[in-house]
Amino acid sequence: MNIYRPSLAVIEKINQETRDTRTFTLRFLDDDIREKYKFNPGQFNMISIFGVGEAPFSITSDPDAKGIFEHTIRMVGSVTNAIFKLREGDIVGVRGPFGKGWPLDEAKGKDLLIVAGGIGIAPLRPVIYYTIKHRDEFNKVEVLYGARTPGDLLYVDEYDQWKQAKNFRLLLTVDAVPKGVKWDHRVGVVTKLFEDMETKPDNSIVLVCGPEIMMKFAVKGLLERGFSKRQIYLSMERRMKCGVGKCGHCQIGSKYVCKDGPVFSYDEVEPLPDKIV
Amino acid sequence: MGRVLILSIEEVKNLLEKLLSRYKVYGPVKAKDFWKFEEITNPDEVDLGYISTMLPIKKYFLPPFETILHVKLGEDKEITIKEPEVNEKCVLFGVHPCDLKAILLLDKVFLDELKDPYYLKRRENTIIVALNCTAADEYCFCTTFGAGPFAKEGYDLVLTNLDERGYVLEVGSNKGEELIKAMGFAEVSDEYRETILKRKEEILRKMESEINQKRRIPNVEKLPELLAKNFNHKVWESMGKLCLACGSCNLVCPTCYCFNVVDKFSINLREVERIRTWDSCLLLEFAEVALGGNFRRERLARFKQRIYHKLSYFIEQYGEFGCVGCGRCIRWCVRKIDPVKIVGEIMEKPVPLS
Ligand SMILES: Cc1cc2nc3c(=O)[nH]c(=O)nc-3n(C[C@H](O)[C@H](O)[C@H](O)COP(=O)(O)OP(=O)(O)OC[C@H]3O[C@@H](n4cnc5c(N)ncnc54)[C@H](O)[C@@H]3O)c2cc1C
Ligand code: SF4
Ligand code: SF4
Ligand code: FES
Repeated sequence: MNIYRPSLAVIEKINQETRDTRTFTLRFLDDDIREKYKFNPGQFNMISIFGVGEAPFSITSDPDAKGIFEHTIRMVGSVTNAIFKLREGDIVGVRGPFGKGWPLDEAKGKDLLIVAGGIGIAPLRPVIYYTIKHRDEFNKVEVLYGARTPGDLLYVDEYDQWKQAKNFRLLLTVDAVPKGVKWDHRVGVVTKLFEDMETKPDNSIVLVCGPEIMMKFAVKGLLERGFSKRQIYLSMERRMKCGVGKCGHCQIGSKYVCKDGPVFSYDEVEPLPDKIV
Repeated sequence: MGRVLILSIEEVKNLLEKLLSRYKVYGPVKAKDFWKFEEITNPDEVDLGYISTMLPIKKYFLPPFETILHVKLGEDKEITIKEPEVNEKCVLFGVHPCDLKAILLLDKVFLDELKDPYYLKRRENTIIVALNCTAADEYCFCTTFGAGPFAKEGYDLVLTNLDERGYVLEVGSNKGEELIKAMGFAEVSDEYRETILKRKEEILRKMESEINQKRRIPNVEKLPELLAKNFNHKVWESMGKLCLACGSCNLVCPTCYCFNVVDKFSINLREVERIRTWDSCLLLEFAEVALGGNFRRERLARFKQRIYHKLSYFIEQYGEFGCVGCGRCIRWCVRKIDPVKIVGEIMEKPVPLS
């Protein structure tokens, strides 16, 4: 198999999440590829729009779902603009899944704290699906999620279902509430929610994803609250041109984000150069 | 394997002649004031006295521009993807040990568990005739990393110039053995073989000490730790100002492998070529991400990325230094920025190692 050759997938469904973000449900055209395709929460695909290019996107769907997978994509540049021009029934190229995902095996039997900012919730949604479906494998699950405004929150239709799960808490915050919008959660950056959380450093694992500056403050807050560097996992974002450890673009120090990550423990990230967190 | 032959300069040409009759052959050719590896059609074009070519032979395994996919966009959303075929069988004649070692390092990148199919095919289709170094210039420092002046592995055949006695030809692989068998050169007596190999050893020692005297990083095994501890040494700041961030060093470096990928439409918008091109971590766009973010916006950060990748990160990634001491990045730098000197300055006044 040629590592650079994408497989074709059809867009089954497009859901407008927010002003600039959509969730795309994809299905591989080839039966064999579709059957065999499996991913771990936190892994990503390289999505091709032929003639425009390829870019990495986290897989956001339920890892147990058969036959389909989803990407939530924010429009920021050329490939993402091209993706936003596509309609249901259109075809894209997909390579993946790539990278190492979240350490769910290690999290089993422990409390799980999820801290997400903005589109950073995308690679964590498979974890939420997974923990809800396999509720007994984990202790408490707590999700702290922050967005710019209430209108920027992703997956709002699913919150009720999440909250119904046993021993599962969802805490929300936004940076600002526009006039006239009803909002009965916190206002402020996501680290504000640390004041309300129940998860303690004892027997817990923390998964963090968001803009690097947000992860920086999240890590700082967690360390201050007694969490250790090895308990905290981050998903890093870097420019990627291959996804398979060849093009060199995603390197941070000696790490390739595409194959050694994108998920790293803070312990691994801390000594690396050229980063904000 | 292990076979040793002696070839006069005429016989070397003869060997080339025979290779030319069967394969495409690339070799070192004198350009105006430098050398380059080029296709040759006549043995006389090859200059076996060359020191270093401007571009390394990585261009034959990872071309500067290369189509990695052909995509046809048909009517009715039909998409057909075709992989380009890589068929050319060729000989690289007269490859110096540092450049050969660099290919062995690139193998670690491109032929790990996720193999690059195009690189792999070219590696399989290429015969390497190495040429041990019996001359070096003031930029060469291969001995620091054990990459030269003589090749240790990775060649099919290797030549060493013994002056008036001609060239020693040694066989390094089955492919090489088959080639030589087919050419019908006479074997030498055991006795003569001993003499020759001894002479070769002498030349090697002489070359080693000559290069070591001119340019060397001492205590290289301590280098990664030294660099790690001196990430903020004052030498870096002046380098960040001196460097123009033009990326020439990346292009001429035999172990730089980074590439960019771009899609190109045909005029009728029905066909797409996905092309990869050499890229350079010294360039501003290299580590740019969405919405204006850039993790190496500072020139200094980009400058350090290259040096640290070669002399530190590569070891963590692949178990060896990522530099072979070919000297190209100094030779071709407009500002004559010199990693050996930088390391020297750090060694002079280091943050003490524990
Ligand atoms: C592991 C991983 C997972 C990701 N998951 C998601 C996701 O689930 N949803 C989502 O919307 N986005 C995700 N991203 C970010 C997404 O890849 C970029 O937004 C996308 O590559 C931008 O491409 P573009 O062609 O639209 O932008 P471009 O036109 O290429 O450029 C816009 C800007 O983005 C920069 N850029 C180019 N390539 C990348 C890159 N690989 N990463 C970041 N910036 C880049 C350009 O330098 C430029 O500054 C993820 C990135 C990584 C590395
Ligand atoms: S870093 Fe310089 S000396 Fe080392 S292999 Fe590259 S070009 Fe040659
Ligand atoms: S990161 Fe820079 S120094 Fe390292 S291989 Fe790539 S271009 Fe060369
Ligand atoms: S994306 Fe190419 S090496 Fe990681």
